[in-house]
Amino acid sequence: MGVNLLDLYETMVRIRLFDTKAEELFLQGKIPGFIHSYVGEEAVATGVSANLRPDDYITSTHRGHGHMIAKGADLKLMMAELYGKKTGYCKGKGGSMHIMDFSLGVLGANGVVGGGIPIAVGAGMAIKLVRKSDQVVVCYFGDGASNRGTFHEGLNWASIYKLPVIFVCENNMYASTAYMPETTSVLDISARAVGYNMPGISVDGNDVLAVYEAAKEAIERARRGEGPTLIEAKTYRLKGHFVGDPELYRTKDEVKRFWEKEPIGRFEKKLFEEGILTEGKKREIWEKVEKEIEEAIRFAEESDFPPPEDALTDLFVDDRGYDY
Amino acid sequence: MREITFAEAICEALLEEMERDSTIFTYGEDIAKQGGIFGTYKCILGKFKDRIIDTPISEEVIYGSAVGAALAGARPVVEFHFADFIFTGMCSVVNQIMKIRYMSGGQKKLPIILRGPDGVARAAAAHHSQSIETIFMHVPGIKVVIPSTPYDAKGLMKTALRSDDPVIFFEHKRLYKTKGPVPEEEYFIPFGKADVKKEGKDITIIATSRMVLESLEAAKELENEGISAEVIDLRTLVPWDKETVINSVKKTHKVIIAHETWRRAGWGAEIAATIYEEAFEYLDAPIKRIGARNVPHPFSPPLEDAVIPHKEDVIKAAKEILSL
Amino acid sequence: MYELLMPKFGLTMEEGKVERWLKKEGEEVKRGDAIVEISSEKITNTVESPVDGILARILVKEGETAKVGTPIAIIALSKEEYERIATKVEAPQITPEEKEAPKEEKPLEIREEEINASPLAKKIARERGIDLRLVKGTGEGGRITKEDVLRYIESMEKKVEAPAFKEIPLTTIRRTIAERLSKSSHTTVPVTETMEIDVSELMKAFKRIRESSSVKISLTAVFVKLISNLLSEFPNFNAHFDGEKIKVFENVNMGVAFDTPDGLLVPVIKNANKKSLEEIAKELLEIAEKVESRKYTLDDITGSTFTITNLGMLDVDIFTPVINPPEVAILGIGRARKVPEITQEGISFKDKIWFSLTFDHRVIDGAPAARFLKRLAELCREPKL
Repeated sequence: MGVNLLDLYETMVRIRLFDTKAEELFLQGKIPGFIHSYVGEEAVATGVSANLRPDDYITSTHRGHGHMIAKGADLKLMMAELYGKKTGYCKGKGGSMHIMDFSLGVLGANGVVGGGIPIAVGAGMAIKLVRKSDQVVVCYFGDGASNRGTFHEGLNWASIYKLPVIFVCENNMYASTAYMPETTSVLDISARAVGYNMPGISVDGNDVLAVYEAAKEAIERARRGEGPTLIEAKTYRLKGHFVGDPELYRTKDEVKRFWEKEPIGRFEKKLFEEGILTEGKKREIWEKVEKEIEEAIRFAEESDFPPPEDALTDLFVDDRGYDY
Repeated sequence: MREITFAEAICEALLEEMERDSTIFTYGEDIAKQGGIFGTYKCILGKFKDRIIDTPISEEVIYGSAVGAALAGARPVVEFHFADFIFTGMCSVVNQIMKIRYMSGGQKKLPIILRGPDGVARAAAAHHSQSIETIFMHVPGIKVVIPSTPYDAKGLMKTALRSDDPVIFFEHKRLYKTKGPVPEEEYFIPFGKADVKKEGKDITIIATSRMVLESLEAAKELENEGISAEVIDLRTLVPWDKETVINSVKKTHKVIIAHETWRRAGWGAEIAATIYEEAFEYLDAPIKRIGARNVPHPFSPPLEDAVIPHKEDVIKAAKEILSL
Repeated sequence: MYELLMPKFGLTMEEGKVERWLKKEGEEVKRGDAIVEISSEKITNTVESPVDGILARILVKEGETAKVGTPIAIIALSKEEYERIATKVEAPQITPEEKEAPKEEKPLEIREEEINASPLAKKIARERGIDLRLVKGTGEGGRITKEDVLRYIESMEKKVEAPAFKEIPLTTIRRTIAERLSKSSHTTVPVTETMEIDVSELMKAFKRIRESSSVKISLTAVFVKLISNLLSEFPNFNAHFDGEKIKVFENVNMGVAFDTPDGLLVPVIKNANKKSLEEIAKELLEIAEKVESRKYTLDDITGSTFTITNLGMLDVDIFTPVINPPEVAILGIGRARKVPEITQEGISFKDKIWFSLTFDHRVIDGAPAARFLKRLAELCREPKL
């Protein structure tokens, strides 16, 4: 195994604690707007990202904190952005749903479901036709997006041009309040890959190593120039669609059942069994991450909001003659 | 000076810049083999292998991919087949191209050009005749360029190809075959600089695209009746040249604004309101706006003629203002 | 608010010209304040504000004429009113349908928003003080355009059917004279007393002095010296009165009226009472040169405490000189004539001059004035120069 298992574990813990803390802060009224929790899906972003280089790209969704953290984001800058402070990744202009760091290759969380798919294939085109490098693009989207036009257009497009794009569908069973089997014509979204002439596989999205392996293969394929792959990571959205969601569309029992299968607990068990994780090490990792998050919160709270005039900046590089 | 067509002028600009900048690549429907249905790519056929591509009919991806391509370091020039079909991929244009840079807090430039034909052809009817530049003046996030002559088309396209901001470039179908003088030496026309195509002192006519030509015809006929009209071609709507317009108003005290797009809530209203705000006491008569009747474009030629504006409308308006 | 109308100064006055606004738009005026100077043919009059308020809008500008009875200004009676009327063009008020009775009874005012005129036309009308109600509109829908306003202005200028005339621009000097003497005329109570005085001895003395002096002595110099001496006996005549206080001066600054091509100038010989006849004569020569070459300064022509004015060389005997404000008197000197006198010895010829003394009856009465002249007569009989 060419990957550090404890790194995988730590990344998942980091994502879990960040989004849990973010939910708390949101309910305290410290974070404006909306938060969409990634809790329960950590294995997907972690497993995929472990195969990525810094110069690879990802496109994310409205539920994107996990993707960004797995790609190596600075928690302080993320938290500041969630708070709307000027020290955030987007200087307070994006917020949770549009959090971006182009220098990390994170081409943005997106407020439009399926909105990242065209962006991902566009990056793929530039890589193949202009840069002519072996970079890849991971395109995250959900089960809901797989019913959107952009999914179908995007997969077709990536297929005909043989673009280095890995489509990772995070099937967490719910698109807002919609239960996936009721809105989707297939039970396995990976089945749609056939229609677009690309390999498609379904994996247990709560098994970080399974995700890792599947992603590894797809990414290496893409780097070799063999084109796109569709990976469906079956997982479960443990929290509501957004923080504050009354969740009238599912039962508490169902959620409780899925908590028993959540990815961090499962991986922990395996690591303990193989002696890679001890209680002491676990405590060390959790404390380290908690401290990181506390620092991030302090940074965000001590930072200033952007001044009103900043609202009229960052639209154009050249704004001569522009009427604000 | 040599004379070339509007379409040839645009192609020349593309050719020159693609030779100079290898990150420019262009894609759209019917361009790589056909050279574009109006010949705007004829002169680059066969010249750049991977950099001119035919795409499937997948508008949301055609436009949205430009964002990914730009973020991955390329300069995409994306054709919209007909302005009417921008609506097909409108989400990508308005919610992605026009917003990503701002939402990211200005992290990177988005050198994207969306270009293509707009306006009436002859009996092309409601899905192939629209002019929609007003929408892109209203929603912030893209620069709007709309030339009326081959000279302007080339100069503005050259500037667009060096711009670091998204540009939407409207080329009126009926203008593609018009010929005009274009220098051999390289030149650029900056955005936000209108062109006084004819000087006059009795009345100011502000127009773009096909209506510039109609207004010049009208001005010629008005001249025979002793009326000296000044015709201003705005050339770009975002940003637009307020200074030139106000100076003309101060001179003539009477204004007509003419555009082919629908009169109601057309961009002419924005220009008119600005003139009222900033040059109220220089007006000797209310401003008249000329645009299409508020219906979709009908098919039958006499109906089409009844809907879209012509030089006769300009002449009539001028005479009304001057109480003749 | 109050519409200030073009006043009628004379029975036949039909129109007046605004010479000068003494208050600015936005300035407070009190009842009785001088607010504007109006001239008509020969008379210039100051118009006082009949109300307390703020001068809100000037409708007829300086130099422009208006018919008697037409509004030339609007005075706001309160600050709120002023704010409402103030020169900005008001946008038309769109009253909602639910409004019942109008808020207040609006007095007749020039309501620009009801007149169908273009913004440019309104601007020009406002600047030129034109009442748009009088202008015919030829624009769309009868709108008054810039052309219409300019056409109206041109026609108004043609309408004043005066006999063929040439307009002479007012020089600063003329204007100043007009202003000062007008002021004098308004404020002083001038009375003129005349006396024919035997100046034979004076003339003899004059001849003697002239022959023996190296300096060219003029008769004017003699008069300056003589009157300076006289004033030391009548100090109340060597004074200024501003309506409140009388200032009697220790020294005599003698103003000497000069007729110049530019108009009346009154250079001043300062401390004439302290100067000798030669000094005075020399100074008069210098003054004459300065006046001739227009090289005099303000200092040269201000500060007089008493003025003498000689029209004798133009053969005038008696006249009614105007007091040079804020002085209290002015002595006019007439022609020197040879008048035959029949005595026991036969016919002899005497030199006689009529003197015309105009004095301000507010501070000098007729009897003292007469005594002044009588004493002058005595000094002429026994001149001590």
